[in-house]
This record gives sequence, C-alpha cells and structure tokens, in this order.
Amino acid sequence: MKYKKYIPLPRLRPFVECLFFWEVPKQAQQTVIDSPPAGYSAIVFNLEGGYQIARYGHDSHDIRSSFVVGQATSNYQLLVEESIHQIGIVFKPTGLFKLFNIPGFEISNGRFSLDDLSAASLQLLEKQIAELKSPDQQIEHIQQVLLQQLSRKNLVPDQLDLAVNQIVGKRGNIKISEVLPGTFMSRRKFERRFLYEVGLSPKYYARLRRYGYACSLIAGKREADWDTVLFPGGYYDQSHFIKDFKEFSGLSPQRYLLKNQELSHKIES
Amino acid sequence: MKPLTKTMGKVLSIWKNVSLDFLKAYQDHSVESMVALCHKNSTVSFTPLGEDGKGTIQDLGKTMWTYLMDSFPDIDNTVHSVSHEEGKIIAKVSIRGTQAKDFAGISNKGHSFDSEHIFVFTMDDSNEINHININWDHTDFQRQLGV
Repeated sequence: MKYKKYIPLPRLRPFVECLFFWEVPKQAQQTVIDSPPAGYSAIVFNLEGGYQIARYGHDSHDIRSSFVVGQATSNYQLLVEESIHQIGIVFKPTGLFKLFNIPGFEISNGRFSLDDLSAASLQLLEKQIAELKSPDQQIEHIQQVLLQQLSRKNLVPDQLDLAVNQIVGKRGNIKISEVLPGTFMSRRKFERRFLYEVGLSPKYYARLRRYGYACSLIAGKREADWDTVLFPGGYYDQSHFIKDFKEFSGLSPQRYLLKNQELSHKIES
Repeated sequence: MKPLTKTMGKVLSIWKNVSLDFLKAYQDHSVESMVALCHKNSTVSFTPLGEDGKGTIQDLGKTMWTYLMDSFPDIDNTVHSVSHEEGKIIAKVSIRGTQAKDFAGISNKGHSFDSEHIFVFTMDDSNEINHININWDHTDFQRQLGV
C-alpha cells in the first residue's frame, strides 16, 4: 500500500491542505481502514478499482467513481479488497466552496459523484489526469488547474477563511469568542456563513477538529499515556474526551486505541 | 448512507435548504414563516412530551412555538449540522433562551437554558415539510430553569 502526501504550492495553501496519491494492490483478504473526521473536505479522483465504505452506525456501500466528500461528523471505515489507484485534493474547510462553489452545507456527511454534482470542470480534470502517467505529473497538473481557478476567481482569503484556518491551526483548541472579533461579523452572521461554506457550526467544527487531532495522536499505536493525548489535544477533562470518542466513533478511547486500523498502520512508504 | 442518484442529490440539497430556512425563521421569531414552509396537513411531534406533544403544525406547532417565543423573548438557535438519513433531514441544533414568563407549568425564575435539540424533517414531493420530530433532554431543560 503506497500513500504519498504532497504539500500544495504556496498560493494554494489558504484553500488546499494537501494533495495525495494512494495506490493499493489487490488484497488477499479484506483490509479495514478506519478514518476519523479530519475536518477537511476533498475531491477524490478514483482512477482504478474501488472499495466499500461504512459510516459508523450505517450500512456499507460501494465507491467506484470519482467523488466529492463533505465534512464527516462520525468515523467511517474503508473496506478494501481489490486494487485502488486514487489521486485526491484535500481542501481547507472553506476551500471547496471558494474554488468550486460547492457549499459545505449541502455535502456535509455525504459523498457525491462528480456526475451527481454536474461538475463539468471536475469531470474534465478527471479525464486529463487519467491520461497522465505518473502521480507527480498528475499532481502537478491538478495544482496548475487550481491556480487557474484561483486567478479566474481573483481569490484571496477573506475574514471567514482566516478565522476557519485559525481554528484548523489551533486544532480546534480555541474558543469561538476568540476568533469572532477578527471576522468583523456578528455572531449570527459568522455562524450562518460558517455553516453554509464549511458545513458545520463553528463550535461543532472545533469540537470535531479537536477529536480528529486526538485520534491522530494515537493512530498507529496500541498503548498510550492518556495525559499526552488529553492535554495536547485540548481536552481539560476526561469526561469530554470520553464523550467525544463515544459520540463520533461509538467506542471508548481505550477501545478505539486497541481496535483502530487507521491508514498509518498500513502504509509502506 | 447509500450512493445518490443525480436527481436525489439535487432533491436532498433542496430539502436541506428548506430545513435550514425553517430554523432561520425560528431564529427570526417568525412563526408564520416557519409554518409557511410546511404542508397544510403537516404534523409535529415534540417527543419528550409524549402523546400531548403530537399534533398538526397548524395547530400544536404554531401554538407551541408562539408560546415559547412569548415565554423566552430572547430565544435563539445555532444549527450545528444538517445531514440526511434515509430520505429524512436531520438537524443538530442548540436552542437557548432566558425565561420571562411561566411556561408549561415551569414557573418563571428568570433562568436561562441552552439545550441540544435534534430536528428530524420529513419532506413531501413538493418540497414542503410533511412532519417534524423534535427531541431534547427535557429533564435537563427543566433543571436549567430551576425545576
């Protein structure tokens, strides 16, 4: 299983978190990959194969085509058996709306194929990258298209983008009242715009981001000193920490630690 | 969550927007605008109130929301997330307010509440709200108001 993460070009960074290449050979038996909510949305170009996806508490279904995925509010699992070849763009929380006019509100907790969204420019991009041979070339082409989109829309980060990215940078460990003054918006306007562009309320987003970061601190481990997860993760009491794990993953932190199969358990290079 | 057809994706987007408009109208204290988004025969269920909490939106819904806005004049909400499950729209909402009058047997002590609510909207073919199920922790709500 190969996974390569690409840092975006500097001009894209306010809107794009990273790009990635993921290749999986055909598996002898089903491989399960856990994925907690990371606080990002993404466009994933599925160039070969497919897998099943199961959101916590829901039935699984097939993923075969390229898709746009919104903010998730619970853990999900990828059930992988056949070979996969994917290239993806992971957006900062407002990036997908700013670059492609896709409101986070309409796609939260969902995966929509490019066809469902009538996203002609993305369907064209999918064809173009399928014709390129190496992942490096594909990523380079995607970044050029994103830069064109940035120039065409004359995009510079606005107050909302900066506030959201501040929450991302602090891994959710910040009060909304600390972010609000910099936006020059009323609380109601800030919450409404945040919900529309990101897909969640600011407070709920910060909570998910905090939880996602805590998961990243224990990913790939089977033992943990919880003090090194709780406090760096922004949790000041155990009850909130346990409550978040149970709500978003259905498991206690200890059970999640022992059971999780996040991607970091599987990657070779 | 099953993959969506092109039409279903668009319909869900409309339904999410109608549900959000309902909650915005609630935030603006406009019961008329809330009811205008619902079918004339639509129903509501305020789950913690049991059988007493079931009725039509035109009758029970209108009365309850008007009563709430009168008893809690600063009542406000924050929509945390709106998702879809099996053709229904589910909104996680915080509702908060400060009591100014007696409400449903709870005498006014001037206390405030802040309570997580789950709204489940069922829509019809003409994209009107057909049914709303509303659930919250009523014991905690009463506790916050000093019961």
